[in-house]
Formats: sequence, C-alpha cells, structure tokens
Amino acid sequence: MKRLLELSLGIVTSIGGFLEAGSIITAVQGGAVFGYQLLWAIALGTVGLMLLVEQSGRLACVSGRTVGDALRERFGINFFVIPLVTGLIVSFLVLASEIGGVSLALQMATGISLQWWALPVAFAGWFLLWKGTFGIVEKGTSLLGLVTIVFIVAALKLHPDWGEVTAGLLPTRPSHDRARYWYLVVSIIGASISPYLYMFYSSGVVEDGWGVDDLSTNKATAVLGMSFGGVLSAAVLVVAALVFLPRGIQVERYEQAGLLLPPVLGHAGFVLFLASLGIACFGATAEITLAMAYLVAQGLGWDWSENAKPKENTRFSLTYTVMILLAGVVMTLGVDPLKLTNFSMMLTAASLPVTVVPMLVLMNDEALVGDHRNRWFGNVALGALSIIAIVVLLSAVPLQVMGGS
Amino acid sequence: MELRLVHELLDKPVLDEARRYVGRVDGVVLELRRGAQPRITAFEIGGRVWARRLSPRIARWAVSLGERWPALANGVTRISMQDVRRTGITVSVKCDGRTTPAMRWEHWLRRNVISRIPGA
Repeated sequence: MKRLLELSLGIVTSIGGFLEAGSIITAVQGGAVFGYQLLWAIALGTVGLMLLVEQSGRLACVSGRTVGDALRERFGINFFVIPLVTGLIVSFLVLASEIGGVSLALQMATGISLQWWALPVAFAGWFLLWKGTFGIVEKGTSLLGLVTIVFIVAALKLHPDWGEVTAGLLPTRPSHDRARYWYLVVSIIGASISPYLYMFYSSGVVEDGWGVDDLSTNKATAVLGMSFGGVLSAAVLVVAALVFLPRGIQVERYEQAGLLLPPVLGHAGFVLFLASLGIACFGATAEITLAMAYLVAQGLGWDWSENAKPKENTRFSLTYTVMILLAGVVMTLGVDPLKLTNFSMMLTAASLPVTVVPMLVLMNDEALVGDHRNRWFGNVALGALSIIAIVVLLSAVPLQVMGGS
Repeated sequence: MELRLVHELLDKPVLDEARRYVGRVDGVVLELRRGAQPRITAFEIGGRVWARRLSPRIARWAVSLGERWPALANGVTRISMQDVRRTGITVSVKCDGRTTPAMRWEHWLRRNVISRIPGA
C-alpha cells in the first residue's frame, strides 16, 4: 500500500513538475507557427527524457551513485570538468530564464516590471531551499504545479481534430519557414530533455534512499510520469495551434503567451495561465538550483543533502545560495526572458551529448549496475538518443543563426 | 596487493571512520622502484591536486588563489595507504575526516558565513 502511494505520488509529481518556462514557450511558439506539425518533437523529447530518467534512476537505485558521482568516478576529473562546466553554464541560463518566467507572471498580474520581481523571486526560491527538505521542494512545488492540467482542459474544450493531432506525431517536412521549423524542433528537444532533470532525479533517488527494491517504482515513475508530462506539453502546443495559428499570432514577446487561454476559458484562463507559468517556473527554479549544487558537490566530493540543515553541508548550501542570487541579479539587468529562454533551450539541446553519450558506458558498467545493466533495448534506445544528441549539437549553431530570430 | 588505480582508487569518494565524506581521491603518490612495479604509498585530496591533473596553468592559478585567500583554500590532505581500510566504489579510511585540511574550508564557511544566516 505504501509503495502504491509512493508510486502515485511520484507520478503525480512528475506530471506537476514537467512544465517549465522552456517547455511552455517552445510549445506555444511551435503550435502558433506550425500547428500540430511539431508534436513529434515533443513525443521524441518525452521518450528521450523517459529513457534517461529511468536509466539514471536505475543507476542510483542499484549503485547508490548519482549521475554526477558516476561521471566523475568512471571517467575521472579530466572528463568530468566538461559536463561540470557545460552543465553549470547551461543550467545557470535556464535558471535565469525560469526566474524570468516567474517574474513575468508576477509582472502580468501586478503591472510591476519583472526587473523588480527578479530578486524577490530568487530570494523566495532560496528561502524554500534553505528551510525546506527535498520532499517539500520536489513534491510541494510539483503538487501545486498540477494547475498546469488546465492546458489539457483547454485543449479538450477546443475539440481538436484527433486525426490531425495523431498525424502531428509523425515527422513531416515543413511547408514554410524551414529554418524556424528545425530551430523549434531542437528547442523543444532541449526543453524536454534538460540534463538537470535527470541529474536532479538521480540525486532525489539517493536523497529518498531508494534501493534495488524500488526499481519497479522507478520504472513506473519514469514511464507514466513522463508520458503524462509529455501530454501536458502537447496540450500547450494543441491550444496554441487552435488559438494562435488561426489569428496569425506569432509569439515574439512572452506576454503574448498570456492570450493563450482567455479565448477558451475567459478571464479565469488568464489567471490560470499566470498561475501555471508562475508555479511551473518557480518549481523549476528550485530544482535547477539544487541540481547545480548537487553536481558541484558530488563532483568535488563535498557532503550534500537537501534534507540536512544548511550548516551541516556548508559548501553545498553556499553553492545554491550564490547560484540562485546571481541568476536573480542577471534578470534585474533587463535581459529579455523570451530570448533568454529560447537561447538557453538551444544551448541545453547542444549540451546533451556530454551527458547522454557517457550514460551508455555507465549503464553497461558491471561494477556500477551489476545485473541491472542495460539490455539490448536500453542500449539501442540510448545509442539512438546519443546520435540524435550529436546531430542536435552539430546543427545548434547554424539553426540559432538562421532560425533563432 | 595489486590495485586497479582508476577502477578502485582515483576519483572515488573518501569516507572517514564515521562514514562521513572527506572528499575524493584527487591524486595518488607513487613510489617508483627500480625493477619492480610502482607502489602507491598515499593518496591526496584537494583542489590543487585535481587542478594539477587538468593542466599546469590551472594548477598555478589554484596555488595563487590559495595564497591570496588562505582562509578559503583547503590544504592538500595526504592519507597513507596504510590508513585505507577498503577501496572500490568508495574508499574507507581509518581516520577522523573532520581534522583533515580537506575540511578546512567547510569549517571556515560554517563559522564565518553560513551560521550567521538565520535558519541555518
């Protein structure tokens, strides 16, 4: 019974914690310009994330090592600095864009400029980490994040043509604006498969003390939680395709996304959009900040645990304090949150090979995962994802130049 | 005793006798012997040690940073292989990790920064 409850909670928190600034904005932009045509990119990203979450969770359940630990231990410091440095740079930009997302929701609610909100939002995020435990950070924000189910409600109320929706799950060549199309494909993949997500997840598995007995819970959380989460992203795209595309609205400013739900749900739609954006981005703010501190602490061999008091792991708690406050400062400087979100999603996608490819080695290391190492299916799927990650890396710069404006 | 340096020692987390994290094995001290295999006599923990593995320039930078702000610099902790209980996924040692230079920065931050923030 306890296990079933834990499983349900795990799945529910995966759904509630799935959406964040990047996945919302890239899905809105994709639907607004290409209708359902980019649904396949969300499906691909979701399957990729499902795979990495399951495997990083399995690694942590069996070996007690997080992805960060295993990268340092298996490949040594000379390799580890690559995922460390790229992970910190990319995560910092994503963190700033999440703080921007919360601040923008507050700006749209109050009329007070987001630059004024950035530092209070960063402080609130820090306070949650300082006083909270891992369970509060993860489950608390994710349960509140269930408000994002409003996108599914809106999509259903719009009665989409399910035949066309299903057709969107298969990749098709764009009829127009090819550079923009592929730019959005890569951004959506980056928004779906953020390395911080599975780094955070594997650390959570260790924080929660999961072991080999929890492997089935891990698998169910990865498959069901990520699938439902992917449905949420797809719902955002479907609503954008039905609301923005016919009206010719292309999202060039973040605020325009606020017009997504009012045509379907009236004024409540506007309020629910702001709540969804604010809560989803706030949850992501806390999780990314923790993920960065986890990566540094695990890589350098410091004590780390969100469940311990800050003074028990001072270097760990100082790392998240500095990161979140610096990201807040960046957003007070007047950075455009939409441009930052798009840029950081592209960069996230480009950074995927440095963590995805080594997973192939980690998940086949008998010393780490013993009998639970990958079978042929896991290796073929992870191999395919590695190839996609490398293609994405090679295409990221030209696409940013051609399709990013 | 034969030891697989990369698989069983280098970069592994070091746990003291109370199972507390001390750091990671950032480098090893080898004794070179004529006509015999090199012998590992100790391992080292510290930013300067892993910086040395990355590049001489980063190592010099780490040393000068430590000289400028000595309070923020961990010294190099050297632990003799005689004090090692077990190697493998983790390295267990027979000493109190709290007194090693590897924890100096942690203690300094606790005293001077973190403890002064309410709720720590």
